[in-house]
This record gives sequence, C-alpha cells and structure tokens, in this order.
Amino acid sequence: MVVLTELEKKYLVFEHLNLSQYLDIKDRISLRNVSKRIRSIVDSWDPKLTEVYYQQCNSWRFISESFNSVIKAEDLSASVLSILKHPKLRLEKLKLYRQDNQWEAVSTELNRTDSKLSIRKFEILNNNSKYIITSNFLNLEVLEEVSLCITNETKTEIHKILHSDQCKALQMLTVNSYMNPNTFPFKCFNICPRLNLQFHGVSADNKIAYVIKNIVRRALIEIWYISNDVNPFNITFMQQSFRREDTLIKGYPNFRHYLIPETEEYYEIELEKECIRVEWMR
Amino acid sequence: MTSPASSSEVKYLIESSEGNTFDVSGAALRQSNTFNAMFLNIGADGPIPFTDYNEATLKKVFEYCEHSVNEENYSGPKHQDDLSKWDLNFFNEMDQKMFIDVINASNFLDIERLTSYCCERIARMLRGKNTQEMIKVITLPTAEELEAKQKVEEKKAAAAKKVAEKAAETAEKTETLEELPVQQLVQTTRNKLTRKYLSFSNE
Repeated sequence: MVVLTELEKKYLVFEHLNLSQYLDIKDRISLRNVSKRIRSIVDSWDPKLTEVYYQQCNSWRFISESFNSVIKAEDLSASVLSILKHPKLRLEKLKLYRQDNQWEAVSTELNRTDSKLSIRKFEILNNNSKYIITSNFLNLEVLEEVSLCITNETKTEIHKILHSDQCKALQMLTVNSYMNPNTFPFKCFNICPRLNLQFHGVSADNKIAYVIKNIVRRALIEIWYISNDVNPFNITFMQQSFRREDTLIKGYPNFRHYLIPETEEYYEIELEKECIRVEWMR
Repeated sequence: MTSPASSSEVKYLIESSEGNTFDVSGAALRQSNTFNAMFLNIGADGPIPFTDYNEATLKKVFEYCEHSVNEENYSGPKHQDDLSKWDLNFFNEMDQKMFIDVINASNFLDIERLTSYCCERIARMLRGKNTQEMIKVITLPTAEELEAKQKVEEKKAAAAKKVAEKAAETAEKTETLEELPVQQLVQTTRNKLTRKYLSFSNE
C-alpha cells in the first residue's frame, strides 16, 4: 500500500475533482499560479468558455454559461494563452476591440503554435479590418462568420481582405460601415455570396435599390441583408423602386419575387424599414 | 456479514487501512458507484477492503451516506447555500486533514453527492482570493519556501558527497597500504619513523 503525504493528498484532490465547473476564470487564473503542479492540473481543465473579448491594455472579458468575468492584469498573457491554446476550447465568439501591443504579443504566440483557435465568429470592432488577413491562428474549418468595419481608409484593402483564406468560405460576412452608401465599394462584394451589410450613417436608398437590382439581375449572391440603424429605409420609395408587375406578390406588399432565368428558382426581396433581405430561393 | 444486497437491511463489513472492520448498511453503500460496480451483484466474501483509507475517514464518509439514504436521488451539483443544517455541521466539524481524506475517499468510492458538496466547499474556500491567499488556504509551501527547502537539500547532498569522497579516499589509502609487499611496508614505516625522529631531534 502506498502511503501518501498530506501534500500529495491535497494534490490528488485537485487532480481527481473537476473543480473547473465550480470556479470562474478569474479564480482559475489565480489558482494556476499557486504551484507548478496545480498549474498543470488547472491547464488540463476544459475552459468551457463561449465568448472571449479583448478590450485593451490586457483587459479581457471571459464568458461561459455560468459566468461573465472581466479580468485586467499586467501579467495575464501566459494565463490567457494557456486558455486560448487549450485543445478543447470551442469559442462561439472572439471579439477584438483593439490590436494593441498586449494583444499583438498574444496573437504572435497564437500564430506561432500549430494548433489553431476554434472560433465560430470572429469580430474585429475597429478600423483595422485587414488584420483578418494575418490572423493565421484561426481554425478555418470552424470559422463561420467574420465581422469587419469598412471605412474610407480601409476601402483600398477590401479586395485583399475578401480574397483572403479567412473570408473565402464563410457562412456569413458582416460588414459595418459609417460610409455613405454612394461611395461604398459594393462591386467588390459581388464575390460574397452571404453578406450582412450594416450602415450606421447617411442613407442613400436610391443607390441601395440600384445595387439590389444589379445583383438580382446578375444572379450573383445567395443571401444579403442590408440595414441602416441610423437612417432607416424609406419603405414607400423602396416599394416604388421595385414595382415590376411580374414580381409583385398579392397580399404581401413588402415582398418581391424575381425569377432567375432558365431556372425555376427566384430571388425573394423583403423590404422592411430596418432591413432589406435579398435571398435566392431554391 | 456479507451477501448480495437485495434489501436495505443487509449489512456489509468494511475493512480500513488499519485492518479494522466495521458495519455499513447496504443502502448506504449503494451510494458508492465503486461499490455498485464491484460488489453489488456478485457479493463479497469477507470484509470489503477499502484499505487505502483509515477507519476514521471511512466512518465519516459512510456517516454521510447513512444520513442521506432517505434523501431524494442526486440531481447534479448543489450550491453551498442549499445545504441542510446537518450537511453544514458535517463539514464544519472536520479539520482540513480529515476533509482532504474524506474528499479523496469519496472520490474513490464515487459518491456523487458527497463529492460534489466537497467540490463546492473547496470552491467556496478559493473563490475571490488571489494566488497568495489561495496558497494559505490550501496550506501549500510557497515558492520561496520550496526554494529554501531545495537549498537545504542541496547543502545536505553536498555535505554527504564530501563525506563519501573522504571515505573513499581513506579506503583508497588503506587499500594502497594493503597492496604493498611486506618488505616495502616495513621500509615505508621505517622511513616515516626516521623522519619523525629527525624532526624531533631538530627541535
């Protein structure tokens, strides 16, 4: 029979019991610094996080089904990396507010490792959209959605961004923009079959109607949402813009069906004040 | 007495690390998944050996099981605030050493309810504390203490090495003397004595 020391027995408690579901991420980070052996135990626990936000200056938010913790500390990088590198980590969302030096240190380390970060949705909330191109730490087999901001400054990079591996096979690309739709580079987005375009500034209903007619005529996309939360669409104007007799649907004034030539399929356009949906119906 | 558990009246003999035996009811034992997997269907000849744990620990664990026999089936982790007065007393009267032993035994015996309460209790001890405070709670040696301990051990090892080297040297000298032929040995001793005599006469 093996006789264990009191210290060994204590370690056994941490090794055998799954304390991860009882401690939030803040406590786990403190616990992992208690000793080398406890660190390896804590690092083996499934982080079970759903969302991670990087704000700035080593300030992180970790969200799971049972907690929502904001952690800010100088020496967090090692602990955060141990979480982000965990092979069982499957994040619903990674939100990036800033790419400052502290984030760069983490991201460089993530890019260096072979194992990729499994995230379903990656959101870049600043104007540095081209950062997506160099985000090699993303597991592209898992990545379904990317959210970017397009400004006048990043306009020139948009072609590169949309042709990057990270954006090629997405289920949905969300683009936020404060630009005037009249100067927005719609043409570049013709290669995006699934797009959620959110304007947050001036409206240009005329331009939007023109763009929609164009993509419908050329049968380029699967589904697009276009919205403007600051200046909602003028619904009467939009209804007037899409008034071709054969596209109207009796009893549904906000819906239009545009047949796709040589097929029995059609585009459905739903005109709402807040959002216009254009969808290829098969 | 041991037999396949068909009714809650059946008593089982449990053997502790000291070799002592004591009775536990079948109903209490059935809360242990380890027991269920090993003995429930086949029965046990003689006392059931849980000899990795001492009598006090096992009695404490089965005291909990006996108490919770009539409670509803376990349905996942419970918050500490939901514990009954009896549960709280049960935990409060244990010192840390006993608590650690009970956790390990409960974990080995796979008693879900007790193990989960223990987890919640440990978590409660750690929640909201920084690393240094956690070290104190768990009463683990700090990095500095470990370093000091290592230094002492290194010093001890160095001293032991020195002693061993000296012993080896002495052994080598003795060996050299033993290897010398008798004639030469006599001559060497004579030379030594002469040198000693000369040094005395010079004084």
